[in-house]
Amino acid sequence: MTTQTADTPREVEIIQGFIGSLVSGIGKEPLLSVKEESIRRFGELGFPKRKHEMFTYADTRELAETPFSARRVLSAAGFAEPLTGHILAGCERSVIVLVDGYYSPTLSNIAGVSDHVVVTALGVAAQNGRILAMLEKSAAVETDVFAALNGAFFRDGAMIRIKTGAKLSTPVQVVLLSSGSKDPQVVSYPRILVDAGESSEANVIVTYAGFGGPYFVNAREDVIVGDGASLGYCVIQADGPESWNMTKLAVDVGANGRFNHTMAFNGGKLARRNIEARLKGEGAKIEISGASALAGKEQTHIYARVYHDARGCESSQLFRNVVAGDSKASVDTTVIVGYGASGSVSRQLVNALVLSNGARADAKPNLMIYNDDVKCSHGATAGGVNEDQLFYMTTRGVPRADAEKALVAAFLRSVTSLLPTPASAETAEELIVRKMERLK
Amino acid sequence: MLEIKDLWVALNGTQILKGVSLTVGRGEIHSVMGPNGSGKSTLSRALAGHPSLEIISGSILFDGKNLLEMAAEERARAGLFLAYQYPVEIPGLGNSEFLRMAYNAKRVAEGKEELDAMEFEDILDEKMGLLGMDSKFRERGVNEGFSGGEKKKNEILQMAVLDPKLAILDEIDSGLDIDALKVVAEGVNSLMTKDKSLILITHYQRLLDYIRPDYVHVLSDGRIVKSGGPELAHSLEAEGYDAISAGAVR
Ligand SMILES: Nc1ncnc2c1ncn2[C@@H]1O[C@H](COP(=O)(O)OP(=O)(O)OP(=O)(O)O)[C@@H](O)[C@H]1O
Ligand SMILES: [Mg+2]
Repeated sequence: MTTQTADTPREVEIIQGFIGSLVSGIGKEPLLSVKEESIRRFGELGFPKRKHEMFTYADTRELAETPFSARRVLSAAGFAEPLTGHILAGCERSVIVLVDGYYSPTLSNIAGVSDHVVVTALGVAAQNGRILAMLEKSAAVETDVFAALNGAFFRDGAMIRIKTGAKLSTPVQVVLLSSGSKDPQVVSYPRILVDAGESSEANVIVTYAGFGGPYFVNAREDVIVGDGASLGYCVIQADGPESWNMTKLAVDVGANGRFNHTMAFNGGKLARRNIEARLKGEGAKIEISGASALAGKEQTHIYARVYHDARGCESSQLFRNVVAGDSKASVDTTVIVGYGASGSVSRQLVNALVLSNGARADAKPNLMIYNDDVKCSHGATAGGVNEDQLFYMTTRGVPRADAEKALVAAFLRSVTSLLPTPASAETAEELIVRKMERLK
Repeated sequence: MLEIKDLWVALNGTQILKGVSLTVGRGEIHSVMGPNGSGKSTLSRALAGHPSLEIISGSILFDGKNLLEMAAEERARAGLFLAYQYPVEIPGLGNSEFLRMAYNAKRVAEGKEELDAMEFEDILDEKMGLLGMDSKFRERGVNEGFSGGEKKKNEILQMAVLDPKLAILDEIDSGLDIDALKVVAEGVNSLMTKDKSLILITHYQRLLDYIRPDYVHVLSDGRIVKSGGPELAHSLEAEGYDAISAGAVR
């Protein structure tokens, strides 16, 4: 890995801004140690310059050069109305809302799951030594410059604790709502921590959405899956085409824990998700599947590192991307099987449907194996719509354009059908269907 | 109903059909038989409008319209149906969703309102009952993981839903067990009203025992080399195709 020092004017400006923000908020800065560690890492990492191993496909230059100003919205009033369309059916009484990165107890409603779920502002949650130590440690070893920026500049956040042994029949939705603005350009730094207690069972659905113009949402999601816990964790990225969405998910899965991560991407100017998953306990299992449907100049990029750290762990990844127009999608995923991780099983599959000459789909499934006792497979395919399927449909009278749309949806359905609730699957399908109107 | 005149068709530069002429009248059932690779499926694909086939010369009139000027979807909406020898799998697209798309495309072409999922279910129920199909085949992907025989039944289900004027059934009997063949044949017969026409491509007499053809044609090396009544199929079964070239079959 390359270590750099802050040397561009923009990087220096960011560090100065950080110092300024400390001065203005003196004495009441929560999680100061995490922030200091993060800005130090930011200085070391710097924005990606030219070729960078972590940003092979995602061009972040424009993002790094734009002087965003941080959102400081402290009243929830203006958000109630834009929020309404984003709360999923069935989650009305199990929804946690962050607006521009600030946890809003007013807009949240967890009455339906209050026996099993505790939501706390992150600053308060970190008074717990275990949580603080975890945040500090991850800040110190952060390798993603955008995640380091989140670590330095987040003001608030929510910790969602699923109690030990809790079995939730209702999914918990987390809405990360951003308010946009063209001038000045704005950024927010949402941060959530999901702590699924031992032997708990739950589904969490994270929705990214915004309104009112372009924005940059730079989010951090930490997830702890306790021993024997089973957590469905779904991300619906529904930001508009003008927005930037950079997210980092760090997840640790305990012994015999299950983490089932599904994602549906609407794209945007640039949506990039960095997934750092660690199978820490024996028999831990993780499934990651993602779908994006992109048109115009939209981009989504997945960068995933899945570490098998213990015996008998299993990871399985499936990505399906549809690219049209001049859009771009990439999946750069590596499974790292550690020395002690005997009996590992891993699968990686990346399929792309490329609908135009201007579109690009890249895939780089990789394996790093330090143990002999493993079963690993990986593959990648890219191609156009299957002509035989298309002909078959048209010979049943289905207009060619409709047949194409149906085939695209069918292609993505192997991922969208994995989404945890009918409402989330429907929302994802809707995103895709709406996108379909713009495909080609 | 259908009038094919001196049809020459090539695929990737290879001449496959070499002057096929065939007229199918309203209400008639024609059977096309012939050796493997003789061009039977190519003929059916040419009728359905496969884009990779090159029509070198000849004409096809369907219901008075120039079929060769119509796209595959227009041919289907005009009432032409092909049951494939090898039906295509479409994973991820629900079978009933697909059937409804096809059904509604036809309704739109006829200037009628589209049916919603609920309304269509009733129609589908009836047709699936006709073919003794389990309702699990509604929600599965189109032909996805269907057995050979199940795929063939699903082709006939599509035919039943679309109720075409002319159906071309390409080896609908292959892959069907004895009972299923009977059910499918009865299903087809029940759809055949006196203004509907049928082309049955088959290798075996057995299908023709259930669905009685009016005419039998033998396609060999891209040409119809012999035509006759139902008795021709019987003599073919007894003598084989080689006998035709030797002049033994009448
Ligand atoms: N995609 C293709 N590329 C090259 N040749 C092809 C292709 N499809 C068909 N052919 C050839 O065209 C000829 C006619 O094939 P067709 O499928 O029409 O035969 P058929 O009469 O239906 O045979 P069968 O009884 O085995 O189904 C064969 O020689 C076949 O190999
Ligand atoms: Mg054939």
